[in-house]
Amino acid sequence: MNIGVLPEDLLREILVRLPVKSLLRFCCVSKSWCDLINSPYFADMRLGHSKNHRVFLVMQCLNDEKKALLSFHSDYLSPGRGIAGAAAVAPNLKLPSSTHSFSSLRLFGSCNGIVCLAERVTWSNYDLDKFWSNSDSDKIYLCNLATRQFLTLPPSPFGCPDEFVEVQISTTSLGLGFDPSTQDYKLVKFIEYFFAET
Amino acid sequence: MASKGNLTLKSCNGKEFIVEEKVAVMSTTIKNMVDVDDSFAQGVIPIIGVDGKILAKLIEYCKEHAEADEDEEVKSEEYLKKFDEKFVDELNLNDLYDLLKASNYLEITKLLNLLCQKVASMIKGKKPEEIRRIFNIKNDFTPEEEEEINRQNPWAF
Repeated sequence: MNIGVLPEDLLREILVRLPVKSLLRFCCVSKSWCDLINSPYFADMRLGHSKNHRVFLVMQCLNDEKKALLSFHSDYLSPGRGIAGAAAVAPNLKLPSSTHSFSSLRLFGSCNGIVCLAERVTWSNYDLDKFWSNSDSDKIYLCNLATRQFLTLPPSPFGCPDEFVEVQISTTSLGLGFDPSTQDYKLVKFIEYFFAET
Repeated sequence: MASKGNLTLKSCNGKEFIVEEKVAVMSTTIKNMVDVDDSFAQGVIPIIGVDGKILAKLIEYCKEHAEADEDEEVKSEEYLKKFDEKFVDELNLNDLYDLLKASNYLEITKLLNLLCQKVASMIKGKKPEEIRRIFNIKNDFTPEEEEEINRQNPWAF
């Protein structure tokens, strides 16, 4: 079977309807296919297409000594059936090896298929010394569910204000959003500092 | 010469089709031609690069959809869905390719979407080498480069 060469605009119209799994596989078809699939214009186009789907996410953490897995589910394939009919959109995600506390990993928000995860910092599992040395205890991750890529964000450049020497940090609040003016994602993080009781 | 409310479309191999205006203007390209230049509405509209066989197919599709837009009771959504399914299932690959290009050029959006969806579901599960064969593409990656791309997303293979 042979369709023949298609003009690029038509090819784009076809490829935009494919699942991400097929697209990643087709990156190695040729250089021009690879460029087309990886172009920001194509990503925007595809996002516009998939916005018709209603998606809800359920995070499921499996946790044992040897492996940690994360699965996300969506109900758009089985509308009205709730979680029981949920289809896995990103099953068995492998977490970055730097994650050390899976049970405290929390979903903070999502935007355009990018999910923000962070290890929840609480007094009980929080190590003050580690925090001051830019520890792992407040690592924030962004995950692209479609491509299964994880990005570990660098530590916040803002330290504790000088006058708050002895501190305890309350639960951090995070928000993820897309800024159309810079064409990039922005993360807002709230931290509360307290004077420790002496 | 077409009577009032009808348009004459002429394929690239000289076949003429008289169609109702509401059917012909499902094509945005034809609609723009008729809107801009009245002489098209009176005379013959040449459809460049589309032969009689493909033009007949296009008209068949547009006729069903134009009638459905006018009277939803006679041609329900359910009916149209079945019609669309049958329409694309009966196409061979050559016709599919020609119709894709023709509906793109004539801007028949609904049909274009239908055909793109058809091709997408045809190729969804295929291997890269099958894709190259279907679309007549030469692999311009070195084996090392291909290996590297595959390594980045092992779960997609």
